[in-house]
Amino acid sequence: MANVSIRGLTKKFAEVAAVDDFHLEIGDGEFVSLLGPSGCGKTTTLRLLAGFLQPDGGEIRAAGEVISSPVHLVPPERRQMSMIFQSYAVWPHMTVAQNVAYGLKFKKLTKQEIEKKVTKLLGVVHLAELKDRYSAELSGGQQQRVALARALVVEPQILLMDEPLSNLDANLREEMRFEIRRLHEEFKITTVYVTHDQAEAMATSDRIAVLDRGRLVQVGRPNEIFDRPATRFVAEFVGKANILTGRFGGDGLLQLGDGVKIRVAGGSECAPSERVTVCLRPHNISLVSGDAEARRLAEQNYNLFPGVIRRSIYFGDSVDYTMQLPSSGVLRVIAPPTQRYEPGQQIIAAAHPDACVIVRDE
Amino acid sequence: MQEAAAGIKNADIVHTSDAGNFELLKDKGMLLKFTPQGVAAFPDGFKDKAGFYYGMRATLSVIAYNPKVISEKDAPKTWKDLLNPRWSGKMVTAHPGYSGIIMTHVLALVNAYGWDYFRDLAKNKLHIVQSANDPAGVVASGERPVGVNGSEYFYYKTLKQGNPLKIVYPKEGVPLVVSPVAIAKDAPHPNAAKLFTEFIFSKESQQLLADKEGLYTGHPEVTYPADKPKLKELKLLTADADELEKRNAEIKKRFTELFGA
Amino acid sequence: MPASQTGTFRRVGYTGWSAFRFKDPTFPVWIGAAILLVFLMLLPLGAIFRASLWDDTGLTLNRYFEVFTNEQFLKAIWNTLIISTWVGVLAVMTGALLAFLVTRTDLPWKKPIRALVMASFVTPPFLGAFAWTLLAGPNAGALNKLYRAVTGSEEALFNIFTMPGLIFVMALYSFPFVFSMIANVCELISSDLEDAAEILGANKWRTAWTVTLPLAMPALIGGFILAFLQSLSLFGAPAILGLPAGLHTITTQIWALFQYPPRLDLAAAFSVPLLLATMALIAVQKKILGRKGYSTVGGKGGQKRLIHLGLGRVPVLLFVFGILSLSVFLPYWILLKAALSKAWAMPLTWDNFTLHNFSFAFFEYGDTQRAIYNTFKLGIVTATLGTLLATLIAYVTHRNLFRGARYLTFFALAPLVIPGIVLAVGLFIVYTRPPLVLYGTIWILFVAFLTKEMPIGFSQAESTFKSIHPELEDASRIIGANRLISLKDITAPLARSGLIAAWSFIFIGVIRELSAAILLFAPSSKVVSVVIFDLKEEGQVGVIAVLGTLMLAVSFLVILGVQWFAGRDVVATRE
Repeated sequence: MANVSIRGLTKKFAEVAAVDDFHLEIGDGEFVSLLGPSGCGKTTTLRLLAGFLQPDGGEIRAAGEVISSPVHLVPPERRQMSMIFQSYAVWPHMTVAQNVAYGLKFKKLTKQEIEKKVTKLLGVVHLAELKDRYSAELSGGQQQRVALARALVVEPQILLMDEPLSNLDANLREEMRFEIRRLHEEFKITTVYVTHDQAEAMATSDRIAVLDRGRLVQVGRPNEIFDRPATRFVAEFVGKANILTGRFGGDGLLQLGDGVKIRVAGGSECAPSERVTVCLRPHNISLVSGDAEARRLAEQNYNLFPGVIRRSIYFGDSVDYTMQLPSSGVLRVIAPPTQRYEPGQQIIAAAHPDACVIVRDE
Repeated sequence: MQEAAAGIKNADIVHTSDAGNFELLKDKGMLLKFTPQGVAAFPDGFKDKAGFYYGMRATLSVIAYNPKVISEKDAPKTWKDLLNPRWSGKMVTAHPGYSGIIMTHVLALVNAYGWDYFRDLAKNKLHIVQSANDPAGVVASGERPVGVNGSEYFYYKTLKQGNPLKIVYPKEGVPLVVSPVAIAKDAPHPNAAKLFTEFIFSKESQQLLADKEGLYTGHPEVTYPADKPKLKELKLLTADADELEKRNAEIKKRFTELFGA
Repeated sequence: MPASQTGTFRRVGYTGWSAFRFKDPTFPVWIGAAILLVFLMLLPLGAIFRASLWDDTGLTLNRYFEVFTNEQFLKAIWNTLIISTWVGVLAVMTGALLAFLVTRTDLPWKKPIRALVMASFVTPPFLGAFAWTLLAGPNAGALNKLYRAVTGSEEALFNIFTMPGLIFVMALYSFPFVFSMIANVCELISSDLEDAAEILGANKWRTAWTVTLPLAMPALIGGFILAFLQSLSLFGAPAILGLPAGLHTITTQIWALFQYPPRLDLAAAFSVPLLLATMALIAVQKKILGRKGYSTVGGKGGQKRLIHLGLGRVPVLLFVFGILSLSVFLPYWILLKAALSKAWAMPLTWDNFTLHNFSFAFFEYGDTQRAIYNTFKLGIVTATLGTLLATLIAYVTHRNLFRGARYLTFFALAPLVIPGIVLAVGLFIVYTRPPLVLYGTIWILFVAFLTKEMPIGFSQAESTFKSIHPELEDASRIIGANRLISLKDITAPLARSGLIAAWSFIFIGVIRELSAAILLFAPSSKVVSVVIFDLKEEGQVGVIAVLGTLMLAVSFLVILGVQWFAGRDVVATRE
């Protein structure tokens, strides 16, 4: 079983903890992303997993055996892992075929066996015709596929990927996301994937671990992370969010100020006068202009926010509105292009209580 | 001595051009007392009274000039001639700090004329070289056509190779530099050393030195080329080995002060 | 799983982990290299400090007292200061002016000019000094003879055996360093900054004066310090040109202290101030130029527009070639002439022409044959082992393999602050007594050269490693190769051209080294530079010229070889 257990992992650089008491259990064959802004410790964690760094505290186990701890370090070459890098790291003095074949040198295979495996993998990543080329002659996307083939041909127990798509242009990135997911479904290798791009994480992962300043903030399936963010940080980092703050009145409704009260998910369990932060995603808000529609929604317990359109940006497949609320707050709304409103127009925004999620203010 | 201090016993035989070295070594008990045969007939200057070292070869320190630049009639003939201001910027000297031969030369002239001699000599702005062989090239190239000292055997060799040189053996006296050889007390091969020493002082070896190197020797049966004066024809200025050792630092210091480096 | 893929990928059991509970087995290699380096550097330095501070009675400042109250020694110090200052000024003026002309004006023939500057760079100063004695010895020098023939005067035009003569020759062979430094800076100054001045009304010369010059000022000061430091450590030129005139410098004085009877303790005491002064100057230079060692002048080196010289081209060109003729044309010509003549002072007519000097030096004269052999042997061995050690150390520091590994950089670069002759004093003290008596063998020279050339080998290896992305190595490690195998399979091939350059720099440095060799050689371990120095007065001009020509030819061949083979511009300036 190629599962990974990370417990209390800590790494300090000059008294500053780059990774701080990190816990994560990764199951055999699972695809987990480490998601967070730059400097959050995700790459450090990956390098700790690979064995390039030694932890100052905590431990990493693979298949139950300790491979990293402050007193013990299995060197990278003995971990039966593979890694893909942001810079592709394709060796420029070797051909594509030689790059892919390199790792097999250490497996005591015959030349024919090596050649067979290399050819197979090159087919899998669709690079067979380029096998005698050098990296200088390849595009970024092709180089990354060489890296993939090289990593997969050695049949690792664990695959590590460090922002492999950051250097590619947008279209290629999308294409490669699906490619990576496809390869995962095919080979089912336990994978740890580092990225700062939440769309990438969502598209590829079984679970996402969100990191901030060295600490694990939330881990869960993509929809859990998106629909039920645990903290303000996660809410704002993964997807766009409106953040509202208010106080609970005795009636289970959240008072936002200026008399606006809304219903929030799980609000009835909250103590009165407790100060909370709420996340409301722009996609979950619809705009209504007629009173009749507004009243109908109010009867279904929808929260209503009256306001004025301040700005509208047309994106073709959606429109991004900024609404001015009377209480000097703004609300961002992303609506389908069928509803078009102009700046200055009076409008009512409606959101279901389930879309208003309480988050910790961190 | 460096090596002795380190406990290294490498050398069987010691030979330098500075007799003063040997007094020092003798005092430190580093030499073996050994008298080779045939040395009895050598002149006194070639023998250590205590029997620890003997002169293997000898040369003189002489004046030389470039006949292409200076006619025989104008050439300096005596040590005192060298003080003449007409030679300013035209002379070269070797340095006692770098050469045992020159150390002997300077001591001999200081004993004869005092330090004032060198003070006046320095006024002529001499070109300074290091070893006693160096002046030959400078004089022969014409860069400085007069050499105020220098090893006679090397001047002679250079002259024989066809270079423009003429040697002057001043009548007031010519410093004789005897270069001794001795056996180290802790020689790793004492018998071989003794044999070798005997060999050095045999007539054949000594004749070889005279023929090939233009050196003088103490051996009475050795013959020398016709165009070199015999030792007995010259007034020789000798320097006592003991004095050489004791005044070594003083001579170096004062010479350097007078000539700059 | 798709059936077609089942065969490709098999689950492997996890039994492998428990067997590998040990530290990285390549560790001893790195630690070994580090220890070797530290020993190499500390032993001679330690010996010098000890010899200067301890005598039979214990800790004492007597030697220092003796050194600083001795008039001779004080004069030597004073001479050194004057000479070095003047050399610094002249080198900066010449180097900066030439660098400016080559990078900022439309002077023609820039490539040949750079090549000639490079030739000055490669010429060992003592060889240049020797050539200049043939050119400007007051009585026999070729130029002076010509002057006398033309003007009928009795005097010499220029006596090279004087302090101005010495300063002149030393400056001629220091200015290439300053040239490189300033040329690099000039390349970085963007025209935008100067355009701004011009728009406001300044003409091109005023702009150069008020904008370019201040921007380049840190580099000018840095260049001065560089030339100053260089001349502090030179031995050959002051010995050849200064001693005959009664001028001692600190280096020649140290050498004199090694004559009979040797005063190592005084030599050591004399060396320490030189060492401290060098350290202080380098610290100042680093401060002025910042951590990168070159001044950042702002701007990314954008478009450069060149100053048009117009009619001024011809005089400027004459001026530039005039300078280069002093450092290259005239000395090389006289050396070649001396090598091919029976009598070097005579014109090179068919009568005078001979190849005998060559055949004599190579095939007949035992001393030169041995010296040539020794020099090549030392050059190759030192360059090879030095590159290896430098590579290992650069790897250790670059990857920070263990705690404090970065401090090794200090040790690798330490010899920069140690003048060659001071290093030799230290090595002499260390290796003439047990446990390791290397004195008298060729190996003490090997240690001296290895130590002295380590900085250039190391910095070349370091910058080579910096240019190789660390992920290239990580990629091979994670896939199964340990550090050494990664170094061999991935880093070394990619570093090849850089390491070849390192090898050649060390090789060239070794074959021309004099100031350390002059104290450490023994009759059986003479090298070419020492033989040249020894023979200079014996009138063996032909042989010296042959050896000098050989030295230059080999150096150029190696450089050209590197440039062709590795495809890199070795002068480190860009066109």
